[in-house]
Amino acid sequence: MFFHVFKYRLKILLQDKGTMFWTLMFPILLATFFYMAFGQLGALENFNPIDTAIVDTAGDEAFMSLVETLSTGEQRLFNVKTTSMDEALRLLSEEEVKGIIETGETLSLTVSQGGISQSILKTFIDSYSQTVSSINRIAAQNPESLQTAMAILAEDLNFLEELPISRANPDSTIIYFYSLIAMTCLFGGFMGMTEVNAVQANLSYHAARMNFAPVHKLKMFLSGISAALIIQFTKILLVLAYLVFVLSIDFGDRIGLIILTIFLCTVLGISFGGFITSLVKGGEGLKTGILIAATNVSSFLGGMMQVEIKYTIDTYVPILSRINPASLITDAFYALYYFDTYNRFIENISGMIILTIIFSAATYIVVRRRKYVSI
Amino acid sequence: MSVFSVCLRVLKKNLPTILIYFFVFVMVSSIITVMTAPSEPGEFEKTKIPMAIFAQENTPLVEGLKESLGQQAYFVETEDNREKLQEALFFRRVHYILRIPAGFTEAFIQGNPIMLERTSIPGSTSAIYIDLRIDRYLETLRLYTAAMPETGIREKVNFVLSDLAVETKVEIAGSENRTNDTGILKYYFNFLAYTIMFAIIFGVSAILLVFNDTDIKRRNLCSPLSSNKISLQCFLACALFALANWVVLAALSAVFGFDEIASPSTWLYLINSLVFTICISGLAFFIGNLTKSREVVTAVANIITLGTSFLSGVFVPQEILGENVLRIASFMPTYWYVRANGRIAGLADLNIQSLSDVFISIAIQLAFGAAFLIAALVIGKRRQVTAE
Repeated sequence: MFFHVFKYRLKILLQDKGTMFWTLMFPILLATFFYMAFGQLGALENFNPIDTAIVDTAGDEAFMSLVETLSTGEQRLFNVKTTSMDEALRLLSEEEVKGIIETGETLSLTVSQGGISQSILKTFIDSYSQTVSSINRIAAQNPESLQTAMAILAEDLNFLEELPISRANPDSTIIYFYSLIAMTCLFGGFMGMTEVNAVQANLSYHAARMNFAPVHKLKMFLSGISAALIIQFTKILLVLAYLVFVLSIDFGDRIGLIILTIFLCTVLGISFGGFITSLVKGGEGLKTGILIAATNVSSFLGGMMQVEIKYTIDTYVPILSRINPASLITDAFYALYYFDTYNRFIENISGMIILTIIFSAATYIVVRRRKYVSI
Repeated sequence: MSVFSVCLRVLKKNLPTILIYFFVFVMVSSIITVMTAPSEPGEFEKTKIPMAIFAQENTPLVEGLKESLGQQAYFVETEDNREKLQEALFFRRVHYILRIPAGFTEAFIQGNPIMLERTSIPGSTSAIYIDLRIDRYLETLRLYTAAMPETGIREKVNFVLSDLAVETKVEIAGSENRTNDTGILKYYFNFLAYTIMFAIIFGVSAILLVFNDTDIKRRNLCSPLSSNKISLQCFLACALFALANWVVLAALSAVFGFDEIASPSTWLYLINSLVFTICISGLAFFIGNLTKSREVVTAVANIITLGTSFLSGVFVPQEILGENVLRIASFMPTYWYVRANGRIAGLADLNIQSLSDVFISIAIQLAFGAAFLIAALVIGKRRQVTAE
């Protein structure tokens, strides 16, 4: 009997176009939008040689040769165009260059707005004037060591070494995709809701009929939930596959644990739906509305709309991230991707399991032993 | 005007749902507007990068380094805990972590410096920016160490700091023409696209769903009112609803841009958003004529609103979007709306060149609106034939 019900629940759920849309098509479409919109966001931080116009009014050879060195090779700082002032201003207004350096008695910089590239340009020409100031001071106070000073200037020393902090690239845009999976899991709550509706005689005609059948109610419910689990798990794996193979989102290399997490959050999502259904007294419209609203708020707090929100809440209201399902799911993927230890991942997984137990228990209390003489 | 009043009643019935969405959108757009709007300084200011420094010794050299970095960075107080630092770096609370090992000063003065350890975002501009400053400081100090061996370290650091305080004046091109607008309205009006699109598609479809029901349609066809009149009244109600949305949102813009009400660009924003509203009403009319059920409407409204908003630069500025994305987006009215907003914000002074660009974008939106409306009417007519 378990398999009989299971088979039909499977068929019914597969034909539910609405749920299919929200838990499979919608995440995939949204992920595509995210990908197209945020694709360049990471690259924005990367350093690209700064496009600079140089107007050599004074014919400053020393400066021009320094610029020449800094604008050749792989590690160059600048892409330089040497032009007239009029042309340079035109390039600046068309945003072809970030700034104009003009040689003269002193160097001068013209930009159209503030920004980090412009600041680097300024740092560069400042440093030119600063060196002049140092040399003047040395010439005035200790002229005999001017030779030594010049020799020191010619040397190029490195004082810094990079100490990588993590095994993974700190690219915060992936949080959007992780929280998208969290949202998909919570939308799985629709299936939990459908299953509760399918066994509660007061909620649907279908359930009223089912309650006549000589099957233990819990058994019936469990076979329905199993069907929902299998379908939802497959769908989230499909979404994951789309993210990883089509959009090349980096989930790290702990594949076994990623799949385990997906399974746990599938269960969490479905029990979440059951929980809401049992908690809210009202029609199906109201329940759906509350489920959607809860999912959205939960995903918002997990960082789906603004990554910073996740960090802010993690830092200032940590308790909220510990009880918010979307935060736990997003954070579990983030922990797997970014940290080398498992502490944080285990915390998240435990939180998910505890929430699942609470949600399931609440659902069970409502579903068990309810009998009706008449409806 | 019986049809018209029925339409209003349908809207009234759907008002609670629409109001919830509307309220949420307005909340989100206010938060995002406030969070993303930058203040544009009239004078050039160096960018400051958030960074953390952990020094294992406290010497004049280290103090001087901190002071010198202070012009390009602000220091974030944070615990020296690996996971906390990893997280802060990931979410860009710090961009750069510098560790100064014990004995650095001594080794530096001896002439064989040990390395400073930095942790940065690989390949980022901010890393190069801070690197430049640290190199600058240490190299200048090394210069004095070699050239003035007699002088004490504290005095040398002071020399370095006074050298590093030498700055070039930066000119901002075109700053004399600039208005005092904060630019916040651009963000508000960009986000308005998302809110108004969802509300209008949702509301208009609610009306059309009722009228497009086959039975009701058949009933209406045998009424003494001509079908053209029915459509017209229906359309009037939709337009009224759209206009109401626009009025509310436009009035709300005064909250953010109260100081800029007199500015000509405010009026351009308003005109642009009004045209966009008209265009979206056409789109909503089109969608409403295509769809048959409430669920489909919700799905379509979500996909279209989110999709066009993401691709057209409502959430992420157009300058950041890839060229291909923008090319796709140019087939959507939202792209032209956002583009016009950007141009309006960029109007240093009202010259004809940039103004004509704004008006071209507005004209394209009108063309989109007309195309949607025509498509909707064609579909509506064909539906009518099948219904008969």
